[in-house]
Amino acid sequence: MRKRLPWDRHDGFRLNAPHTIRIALCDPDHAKDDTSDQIVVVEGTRSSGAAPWQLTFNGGNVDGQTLKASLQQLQVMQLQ
Amino acid sequence: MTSEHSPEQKPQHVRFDTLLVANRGEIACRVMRTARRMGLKTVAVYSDADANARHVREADEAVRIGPAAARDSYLDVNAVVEAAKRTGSGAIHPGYGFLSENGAFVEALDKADITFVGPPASAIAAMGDKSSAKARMHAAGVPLVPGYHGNDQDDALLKAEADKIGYPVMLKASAGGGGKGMRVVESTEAFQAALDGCRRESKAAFGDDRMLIEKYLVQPRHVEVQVFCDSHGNGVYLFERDCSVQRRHQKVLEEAPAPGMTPELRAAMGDAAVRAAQEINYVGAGTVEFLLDADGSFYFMEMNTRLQVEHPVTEMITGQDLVEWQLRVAMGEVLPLSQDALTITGHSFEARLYAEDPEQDFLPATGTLTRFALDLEGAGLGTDQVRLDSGVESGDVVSMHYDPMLAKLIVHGVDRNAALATLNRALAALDVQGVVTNRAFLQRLSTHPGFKNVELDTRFIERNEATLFAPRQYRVEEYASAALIGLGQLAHECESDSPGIGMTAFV
Repeated sequence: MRKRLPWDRHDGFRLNAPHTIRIALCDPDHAKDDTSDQIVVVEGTRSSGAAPWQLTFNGGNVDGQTLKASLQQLQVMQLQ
Repeated sequence: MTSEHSPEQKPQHVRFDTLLVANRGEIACRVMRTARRMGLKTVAVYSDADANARHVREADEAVRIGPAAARDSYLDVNAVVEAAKRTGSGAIHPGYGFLSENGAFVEALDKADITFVGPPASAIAAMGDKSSAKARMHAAGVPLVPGYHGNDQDDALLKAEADKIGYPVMLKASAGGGGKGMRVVESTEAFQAALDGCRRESKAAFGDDRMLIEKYLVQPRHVEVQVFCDSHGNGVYLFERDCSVQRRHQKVLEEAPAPGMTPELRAAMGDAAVRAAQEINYVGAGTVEFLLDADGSFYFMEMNTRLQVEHPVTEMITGQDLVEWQLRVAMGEVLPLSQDALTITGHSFEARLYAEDPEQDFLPATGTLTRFALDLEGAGLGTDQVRLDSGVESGDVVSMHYDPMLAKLIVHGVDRNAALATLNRALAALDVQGVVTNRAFLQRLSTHPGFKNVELDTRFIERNEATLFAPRQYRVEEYASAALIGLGQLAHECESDSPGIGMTAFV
C-alpha cells in the first residue's frame, strides 16, 4: 500500500513544495458555496524554510497584490 | 411601593409541585431548568413536529397535544388544559408567544383551578387594547407621545396644536397606512404647505383627509423597563434594557443597562413603569416599553404582560433568576427583594440566533443541525461570561412550523466594551452547521463602529444597511495572516515527507 502523503488530505496540488505552495482562502460563511467570487488564491514562495514568504494574491478585492511576510514566534515569558 | 389589592388577585400561598410549560424551544428549556432547581416536576407539551425536540427530552414528562400547526397544538387552550389535568400539573408557565397573553386561556385555567404563572386576565385585557391602554396610562400619569387625535380638523386649530406639541411633528392621515399622507414638519412656517400636501395624498389614497399630529422623535431608542409585582401589593423595577437594534420590529441585539442612562432618568422611567403596572393591578413579570428621545424624554408605547425573550440580560446584570421570581410570585410569596436591594453589576448583551438567511431577505431556513456547538474553552471564555439559551442540539431538525429563533447568546462583562468584546468572541466560537443562520449578520452588527459608539436608535439597521449588508471586504493583511498560517503548516508537512512536489490546498 502506498504511503499516505500529506497532500492526500487536500484537494488539488502541485507546484514546487515546500518552497512554493498555493492555497485558497474564503470567508467561512461561504465555505460551502459551489461558486464563490470571494475565493482568494494565495501563492506563497520562499527560498528556504527560514526566509519570509513572498505572497501573491489572486481574486477578490486583493487581486494582483503582492507582499512579503512571515509569522513570528511569540515569546513566552516566565513570570517569577 | 404599594398599591391596593384587587379582589381578583390570586389567593396567597398557592402550592404546586408540578409545572407544565406550555411552550417549546429555548424558553421551554429555560423555564424547566429553574423549575427543576426549585424541586418542581416538569411537564412538556409537544406537537407532532416536536416529538423529539430538546424541550421534550429534558422534561420529566411530556404530553402530545396535537399536530404540527401551532393553532392545533400550542395554541389549543383545551389541549393544554387537558394535558395539565392529566399530569396533575398545579401550574402552567406560558413562556412567551403562543398562549402567554391570551385572556381566555387564563380564565380557562382559573376555572380548572390551575395556577397561571403570569398576570390576571383583567391585566392582560387592560394592556391588550392599545388605545384604551394609552388612555389609562395617561390617566395614571405615564407619559405618552404628545399628539392631537381630535375630530376638529380646522386648519388653524391643527396648526395651533402642532405649535403646542413642538416641532418637529409628524402629520399622519387618520385613515392612513403604508406611509401615505404622512410627513415630517420641521417648523411652524412649513406647517400649512405640509398639511395641504398630506390632505391631498390622503384624500387620493383613502378618500379621507382627516389628519392626526404626533411629536416626531428624531432618534428614538427602544428602552423597556422590567417590572415585577406580587399579589401583596408590592412592585419593583429591575432596571432597563435597550432593544433599539431591530429589523422590521423584530429585536436582534439587546443590552442592559441602556447606555447613557443617568440615575435620575432610570428612576423616573422605573417609577413610571411600576405606576403603569400597578394601575392595572398587575401581578408577575411585565415589561413596559418606552420610546426614549435624544433629549431624555420618554414615552409609553405598550406593556408586555409576560416574560420577554430578552429577560436574560436583566438576569445577568442583577444576578436574579426572573423565572424563579415568577414561580415564587405565582405561589403567593412576596417579591424576593425590595427596590433598595436591587443593584446593577456590569453590562450584558443578548444576540438572537435565527435560522434565517440574511442574504435572501432573511428567509427562514430549515434543515438538520449537523453541528451546533459553542467552543467556550477554545475562545478562552468562561461560563460566568457567556450563557447560551438554546432549544436545539446537534442532530436536531429545524422545521418551518414555528418561530425560527434557535438560541440566544448572552454575555456579561464588567462594562459595555468588555461585554461587547466577549460577545464578538462568543459569536466567533459558535459553530452551527447544516442550517443557515444569521450568525454572520450578528457579527457584523456587533462589530459595527456605530453600535460600538452607541449611535443607537430604532432605525439603526435601516440607516446602516449599506455597510451591514455589503459583502465583507478583508484587507490584504488579513488574507496574509490566514495564508501564512496555512502555508507554514503545509510547508512543514511537505518538508517532513516529500520535497519537490507542490501542492494546492483549501484552508
